[in-house]
Amino acid sequence: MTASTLVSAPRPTRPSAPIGSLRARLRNFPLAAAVAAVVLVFVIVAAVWPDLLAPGSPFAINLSAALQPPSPAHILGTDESGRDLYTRIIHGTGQSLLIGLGATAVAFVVALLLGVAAGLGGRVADAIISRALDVFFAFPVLLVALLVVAIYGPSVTTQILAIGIGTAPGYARMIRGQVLAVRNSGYVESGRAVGHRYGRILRQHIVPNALRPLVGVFTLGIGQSIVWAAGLAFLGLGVAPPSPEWGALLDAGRAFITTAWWLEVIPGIAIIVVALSVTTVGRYAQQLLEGATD
Amino acid sequence: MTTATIDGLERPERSATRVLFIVRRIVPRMLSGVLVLFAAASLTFLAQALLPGDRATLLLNQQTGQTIQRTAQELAPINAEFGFNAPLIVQYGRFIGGLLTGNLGTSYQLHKPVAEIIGEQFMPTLTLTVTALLLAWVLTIVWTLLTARRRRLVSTVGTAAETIAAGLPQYWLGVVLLVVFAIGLKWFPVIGGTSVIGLVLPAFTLAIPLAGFMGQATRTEFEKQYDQPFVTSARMRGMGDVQIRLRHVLRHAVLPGITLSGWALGSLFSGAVIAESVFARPGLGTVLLSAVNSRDLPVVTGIVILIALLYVVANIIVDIAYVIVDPRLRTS
Amino acid sequence: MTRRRTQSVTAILATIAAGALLLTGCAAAGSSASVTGKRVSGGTIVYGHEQEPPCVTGGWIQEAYLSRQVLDSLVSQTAKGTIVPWLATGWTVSNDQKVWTFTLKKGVKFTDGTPFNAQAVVDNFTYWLAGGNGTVSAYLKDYYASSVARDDSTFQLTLTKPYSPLLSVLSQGYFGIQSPTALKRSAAVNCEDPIGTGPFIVGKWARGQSITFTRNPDYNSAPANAKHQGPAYVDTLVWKFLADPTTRYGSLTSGETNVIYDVPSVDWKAAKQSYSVQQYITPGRPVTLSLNTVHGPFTDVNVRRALAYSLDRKAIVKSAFNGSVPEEGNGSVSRSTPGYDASVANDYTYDPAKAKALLSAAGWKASGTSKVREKDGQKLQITIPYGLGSIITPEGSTALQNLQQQAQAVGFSVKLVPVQQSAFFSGKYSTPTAYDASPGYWTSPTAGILYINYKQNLPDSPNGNNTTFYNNPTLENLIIQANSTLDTTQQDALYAKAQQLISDQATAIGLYDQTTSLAVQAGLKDVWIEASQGEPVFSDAYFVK
Repeated sequence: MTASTLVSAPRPTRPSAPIGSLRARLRNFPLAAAVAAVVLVFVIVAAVWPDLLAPGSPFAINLSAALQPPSPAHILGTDESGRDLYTRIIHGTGQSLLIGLGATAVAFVVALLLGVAAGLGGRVADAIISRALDVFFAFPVLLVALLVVAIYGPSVTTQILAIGIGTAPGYARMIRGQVLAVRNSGYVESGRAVGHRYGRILRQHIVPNALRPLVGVFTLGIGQSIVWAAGLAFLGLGVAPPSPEWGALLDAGRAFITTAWWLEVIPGIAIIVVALSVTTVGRYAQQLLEGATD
Repeated sequence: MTTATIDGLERPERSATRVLFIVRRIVPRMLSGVLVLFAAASLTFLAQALLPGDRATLLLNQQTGQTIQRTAQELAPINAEFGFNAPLIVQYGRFIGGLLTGNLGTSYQLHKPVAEIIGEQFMPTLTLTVTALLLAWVLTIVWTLLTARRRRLVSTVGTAAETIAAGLPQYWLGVVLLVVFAIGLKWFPVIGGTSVIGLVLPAFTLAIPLAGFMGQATRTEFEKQYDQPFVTSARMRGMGDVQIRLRHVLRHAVLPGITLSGWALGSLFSGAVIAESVFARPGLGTVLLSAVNSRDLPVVTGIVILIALLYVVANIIVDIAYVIVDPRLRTS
Repeated sequence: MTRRRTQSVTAILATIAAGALLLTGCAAAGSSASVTGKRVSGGTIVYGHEQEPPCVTGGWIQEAYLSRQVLDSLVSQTAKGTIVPWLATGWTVSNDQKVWTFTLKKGVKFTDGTPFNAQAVVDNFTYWLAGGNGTVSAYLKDYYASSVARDDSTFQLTLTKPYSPLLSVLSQGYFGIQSPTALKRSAAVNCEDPIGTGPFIVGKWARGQSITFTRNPDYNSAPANAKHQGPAYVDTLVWKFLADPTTRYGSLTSGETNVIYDVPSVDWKAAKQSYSVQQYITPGRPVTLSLNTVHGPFTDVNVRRALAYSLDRKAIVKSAFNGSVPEEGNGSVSRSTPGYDASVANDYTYDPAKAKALLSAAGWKASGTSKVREKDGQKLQITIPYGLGSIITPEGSTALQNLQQQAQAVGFSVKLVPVQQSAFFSGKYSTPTAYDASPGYWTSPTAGILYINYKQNLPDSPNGNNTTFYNNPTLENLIIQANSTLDTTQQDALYAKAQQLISDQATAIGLYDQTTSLAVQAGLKDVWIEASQGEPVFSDAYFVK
């Protein structure tokens, strides 16, 4: 009984899968995914080339124009030092996205190593690694972050490390479940029957089939990592000021929620929009991939 | 799974086997659980002992609100009291020895037994966590039932709501709820405390993102099961849609959620730290933060052991729940 | 949707609406009821404080706030800086200023029944200096010789050298007298439930939530500057810990607290309109940027001066604190400290051109495209670690960010490093190689704090509190002289000289004054802030109808 399987094991052809080419599938392109993809393009441009979208400096203070509501001069308003909120959000995109991607990537790499080792390594290895995972589960992400930041100080790198290490056990469990399911399905036996080496089976069948159902989880994880970074900023573990990283913006805006609501509401919306877009695109990508195994 | 086919005697035999099945799974879990507790405690000890900076200086500085270097003379009494100068292996030995006798030690900062400190603050956090989990379940089930496999627009809205909920930063949500419902509308008290009504906003703060997360897994499973042949045949037999959803599909759909619940507990604890801070609730969150800030090893270890214990227990409960709920374990 | 389901949905919505109405009706009546001024006896004051310390008594100012409610000190300092009787009704000092004799009040008892007498005071001094209170040690260890009980109501304190700030120092909450019987108990018990002669007794401490104090009905030892003598008017004082500023101010507006501490600066203007707001500018060292004079770019006095000229402190602080906190141009002591030299505050007015000129003259040239100046291949980079959340508030952090921008405009590269509490308090960032500038403050009722901050840090007599590492024997002598004369005029003149020297050398750049503020609702009167450290006093407070 695979009680620890979260997502569905690889399953046979769906009777309602569209027949035909990629073009046919694209014609059925859902609107939600299209909108999400456009938003993501905008976000990636903001991350890679912020000056294109917001030419000013995110650090330039203007003490006489502090706490201004959104206006033509400052389309999203200004903060307590007179800095333009729109510019800060755009310039913070890169850091936040980096934390989101980096932390999830670190988590997945660690989880992959542990999960594959547990799933394929035999009962003893599985038992040891599963117990080790149980131990790591006893350390909430928060505690890990507190320790990592205490040693290395607050920065984008420490955030990535802390969130990555803290969330890895959850993904490791999932990957282990998936690997076990694949191992118990027909792939390995049929591969062996045809005479393939174990390494090839691993590469061609086990890893792809174990990971494919997790694409959606990965993109969900990106959004979650960005949200985690915001939570860490709240506890004083975030990136050092005056960084425009979204978690830091969210934390700084908290005091002003009743007097300058735009400082707290708008960065929060930015985080939600990015998480939503990444997850939507991820879910669509997953559907495409699963349809492609037909 | 053996089943007797004698009418009227089916149930007892089936449930006896099931109970044995459950027990056989629990006992090894409990044993390995104890191992997990010790491993977690040891890891905490290592982490705390290896942090940079001198622990005695930290304690003395915090007593006076200063951040300076101290002379060995000033630190001597503290080092003597807590044995900080002994070699690491000796300190570890003392530490494990204390745990084996069930003694969690005394807080460096508060001079009180750790068990007392944790005991006082444990219930509010547990109440909040469990309430949040239950609330998340209610939200998930209601939302999934209402919006899965309906008209395209409803389904899309349903999915979007879940994804947005999962993407809400917890303290952002908490502050917004506080400002709107407590300070603005005055429906709830600003200072949560330990009252029941003060539990509502913090519980929602934690439950909504979790419901978004669990909802996605539940919805996927729900939709998959809804497309299965047995549902079609039930509908052909004349069963109404509501009946189908509640009686047949839901049982399957909640399985991934049950598995998630075990993991959710840890995530909820981190969230509880944040919720307690925003809503001025007492609990282990503030204790943990303050203990980590003062490198109060006994308290941090105590909390880690507690969380590990909760995990072991929660996973056992999840396993049992799985066996009870999973319809595939019944005869069809 | 079936008809039945529509009906049930409507029923649910109706219930929610009814519930909401009920709750709104039950919401605590606000503070806007009109009051006529008649005193009500009894009642409970709910006070929303900010930080929760580990103990009620101790060397941290947060602990002094609490211990002030249950302990009395020997003397009290008024807002004008004069010393008035409290547990000591009178005092004399010998001609060589080394022997202080205090006459103690008679008929006072600790709340555990132990009589208050000179021996009790002796026991307290012994306890403090043996490690019971690190801050008392910081003030007295270089001066204390012995203490003796001449008779039941005469206490004699002998010093090793003259110390004129003594009385002011003794007026602080750290020097509250505890029952000697109680001191014999364990550290854990004394931490949570100290026994004193004060207006309140510690009741229950619900960690993470609140401490409840009950009235001491036999209280008869209020300070001379209290608003009335005798027991407190209210029955109970509930001291809540509300760290989050939105929650704290929200609790006042919702009526869940009667008075709160530290009005958030964003709500300052609104609070002044709806509540009675008091602000207290803490004497002692203001929030100052201590510059590292022995390592890094600030070893050069002209670079230090350049930084001072590059900052428009008034604008920085006004914007960061929304106008609620005053900036402080004096880097040594704050404007409410007795002996404050106001002329020093204007030594470094905002003059970026002068700052640039000083830097260029010192050899730091602007290099091509980069705005950061360079000299001998080194960049003009300064690192400022600070305790975010522990020592520096979020508004203070904003002020530092503003400072960073202004300094960068003249060619500094400023790196702000917020430090976690455990790292910061372990002394990690306190060595000469760990920082170029460090913000901090120290509350003290006199300018005698200068001795603690500027006593030389020498290998055989280290002074970790000298955060500028500035060893100047002339300065030290000036301060010692000031601490040794009882003549206030002479004292002020000497302290002024010391402040001028410090300012001339720009070893520390003043940023803003540390402040305490209270916002009190209309129905509660006579809550006041005591003058030595800024603790709220509730023993005279009463509700009015």
